[in-house]
Amino acid sequence: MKRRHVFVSLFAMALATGCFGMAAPALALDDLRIIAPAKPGGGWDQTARSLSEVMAAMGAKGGTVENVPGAGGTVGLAQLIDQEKGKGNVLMVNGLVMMGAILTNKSPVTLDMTTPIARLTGEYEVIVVPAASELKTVNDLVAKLKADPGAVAFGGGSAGGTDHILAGLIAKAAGADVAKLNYVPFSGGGEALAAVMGGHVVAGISGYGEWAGQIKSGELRALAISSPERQAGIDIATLKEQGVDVDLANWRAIIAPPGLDDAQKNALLGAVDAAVKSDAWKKVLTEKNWTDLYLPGDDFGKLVAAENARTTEILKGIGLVQ
Amino acid sequence: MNTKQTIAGAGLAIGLGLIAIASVIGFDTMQMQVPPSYARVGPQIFPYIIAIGLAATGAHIAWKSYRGGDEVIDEVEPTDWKSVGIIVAGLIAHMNLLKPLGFVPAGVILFLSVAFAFGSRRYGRDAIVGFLLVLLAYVGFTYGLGLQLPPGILKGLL
Amino acid sequence: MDSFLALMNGFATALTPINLMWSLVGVTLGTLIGILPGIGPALTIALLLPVTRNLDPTGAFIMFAGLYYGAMYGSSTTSILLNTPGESGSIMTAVEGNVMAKQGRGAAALSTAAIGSFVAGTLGTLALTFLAPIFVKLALLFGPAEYFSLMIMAFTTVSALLGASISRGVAALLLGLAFGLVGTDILTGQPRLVFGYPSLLRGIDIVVVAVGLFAVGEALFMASQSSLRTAEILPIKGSLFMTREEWRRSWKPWLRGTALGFPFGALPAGGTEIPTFLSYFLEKKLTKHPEEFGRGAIEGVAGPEAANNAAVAGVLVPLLALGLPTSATAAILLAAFEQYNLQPGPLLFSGSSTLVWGLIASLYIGNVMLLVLNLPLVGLWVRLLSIPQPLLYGGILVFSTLGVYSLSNSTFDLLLLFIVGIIGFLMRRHEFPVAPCIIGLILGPLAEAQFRRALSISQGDPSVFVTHPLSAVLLALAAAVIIVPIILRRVKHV
Repeated sequence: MKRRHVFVSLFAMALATGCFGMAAPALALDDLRIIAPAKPGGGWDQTARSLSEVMAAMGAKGGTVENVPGAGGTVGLAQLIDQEKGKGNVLMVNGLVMMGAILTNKSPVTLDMTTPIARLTGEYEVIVVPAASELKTVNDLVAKLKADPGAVAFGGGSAGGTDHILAGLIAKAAGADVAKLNYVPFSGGGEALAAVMGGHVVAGISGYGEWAGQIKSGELRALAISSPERQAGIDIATLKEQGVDVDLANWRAIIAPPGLDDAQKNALLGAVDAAVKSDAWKKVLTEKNWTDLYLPGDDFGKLVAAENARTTEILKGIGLVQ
Repeated sequence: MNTKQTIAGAGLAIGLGLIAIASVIGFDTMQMQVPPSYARVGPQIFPYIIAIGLAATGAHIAWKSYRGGDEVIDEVEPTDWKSVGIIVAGLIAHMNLLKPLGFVPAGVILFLSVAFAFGSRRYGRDAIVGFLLVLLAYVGFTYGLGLQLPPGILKGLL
Repeated sequence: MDSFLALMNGFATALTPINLMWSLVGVTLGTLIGILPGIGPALTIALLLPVTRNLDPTGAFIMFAGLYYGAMYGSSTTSILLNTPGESGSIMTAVEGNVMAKQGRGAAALSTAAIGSFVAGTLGTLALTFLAPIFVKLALLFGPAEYFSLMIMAFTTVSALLGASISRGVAALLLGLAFGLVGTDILTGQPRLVFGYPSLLRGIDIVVVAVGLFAVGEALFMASQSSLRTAEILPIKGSLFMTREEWRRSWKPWLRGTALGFPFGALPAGGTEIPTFLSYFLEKKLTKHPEEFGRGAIEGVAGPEAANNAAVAGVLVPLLALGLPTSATAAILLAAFEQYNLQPGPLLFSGSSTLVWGLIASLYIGNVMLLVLNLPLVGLWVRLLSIPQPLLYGGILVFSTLGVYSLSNSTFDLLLLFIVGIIGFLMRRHEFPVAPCIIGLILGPLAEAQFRRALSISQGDPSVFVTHPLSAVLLALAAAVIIVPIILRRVKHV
């Protein structure tokens, strides 16, 4: 143990002095493991695999990805907190979805029990209507929502997930009764998409990337995107510029087990920092169309606290959380 | 005479078992906190319907067996509980040893227990076949497909 | 005729040696993973994605398509021979197929499954080539109300499987419905029947129940009966391949299975399982040998096997035409498209027509390959049955536990498998049918979710189920399925 600490601090020093290159021998993180709290193939899994590849290319040993799916990632979170405590070689991917899952599942383990490392990427959400819908702008939607919240059936992903939270935030910002939100969760992106395209629900909410093709081909009309300002290459007005003061990113981040000492924490922060700033990671971002939302360390910790407060408030307003 | 009593007993036990499952479902559903919804039909209605159905079916089966009906039959030959017990033990050992010992040893133990329960006494052949099969599965799935099977004590060797 | 020309170009793409090789790799790998319960095409493609990133997209998709079809072939083999469905689409195959295998007609069951799959796969691909726009419109007509009515219709199929005692069949169905309740309620996110175990929040996987009831339950039951344990199974009785009579009884079920399977695959919440239930039900109603059902009726293998393969072709319709994934595998294929910066949907056909038509052409080729690979091997496969039972069942349990463990790398699933296995053993011992239990598990959660979604959209107005025309038609059909036989019986008695 002692020897490893020396090693880790040496590594942190090496990083601090900037003598970290491609040829540098080994991140001191021997036997690095990244937990993806989801099945293979999804966003969290792909984040874990991409990060592990980039870190391995930079010399981290091991770099295995473990899939621990279940319950919006809270099964993986429980493993991180109970079984990986104090281990300086373990990372786990998480995101906004896990925050909602912790609340709705009344999970005994929470994010503030872990060591925050960094927010990595994110995706903004779109609000869409079928091409034939009478709703042309967000203001039309807001007016309808105010008049009769029940008449606006939103279709989207799982209950308490990012799509649901955004629907709640929009209703609240529009001055409608959040408790009367009519949100219809579908299992899997395909079913929600079909329900919107077939006109079975009034509006749909999803990550932009998932429905980008249907928006571009004109089968869906995007009313707004949930980013704070317009995104390059996406011709959709933001909620904010249309007078609905809401912005929301479905962020993905990386966290570490509880009980790490400063040297362990700094080593992980350094290793992730180096990986995120590498060209290989930039290539991953463009390939996968992920928006870079890198935010390391304590700032990320603060963001988690703020997002948690906002999510709790909305989910309580909706009635999903008592 | 004896068999007839066992038959009635089994039917009664199954009927009461179904009623027990129904009460567990009913009780669990009563504890739920239900968020408001436009559907009017919340998350509790279906569980209640299923619980009532199970209880009714269970009561029917139990009653018929009690009355000596042939609702539950057991006309097959007597059950060899020893063999069942050996496989059960093998499965329990497998799930508990999978992570600590690894996929290969746990798999071999399961294989041997099943072979033994099926009456094989050729321990040497069974051990060799079992070991090769499990090893092949481990190597194939770990390296071919990247599955994460626990290596256990063979960590580093494979 | 544009489609025809484009298809010919597609064949030119797919018939290059390198793409033929990818197709062969795909169908072979697919057959292998299809054999294993729990490890299906979705998981395999997900795990292969990083490896294939540097491949040419056309080659990669040709391989994936072969893998998807191959998995269906492989899983019917284990369903028939070992009573262990590798994928949930071949659960119905096990019901009749395994009985046939035990009577020495395993080779015939395997042949009708393989040829039926080929017929369905090829007809399905033809429909995909020329009729895709029609089925796309159909798929979008289905909203929650229509799905609920469809599920009600599917529930009527249970009657074909209830067996000798109605109360035992209903008990099995209700048990399956109860399994389906476990986990997070999809509409409210509230936990049900979870008893504080976070691992139960994701629900009980169909694979766990299918493998538990069929493979584990069967192994325990066989071991518990000394006469069964020591019995020698004759792998082949009579002719190796299908007799003239078996051909005659198979070809109509193949066509009807295809007609059921393809549209279901194209539905966003359809899947490969439900058309196999419907096909089994339909064949039992139409056959001249209803007494053989449950005792090894070949129609009960031919129909469902065609249905599940046609459904696979159907899944590709909304995926390619709309970018709409309708199954777990389709969702992964969508991720694969995105990896190559391709966006499925109308733009894909214009933007990457080489890839799309190459992929469609490779489906025809993959089907031929699977038939050519599988038919000659039928004789070899059935010899699996001559493996001494101790080794055979030892192997079945090793692979069952392997597949279930790899669902989510959790020993908790092994505990569930064990419990379900014990239940399966008791059901077999007391002659409770296991198939209704699976049907309940698959249909129950779907029916409930669609029912509540429909009511949520209509703000609590239950009339939606009859005011939506399609939904009303489906409900009327379901009612007819139940009422008509009763009336007919009355009429006969009078």
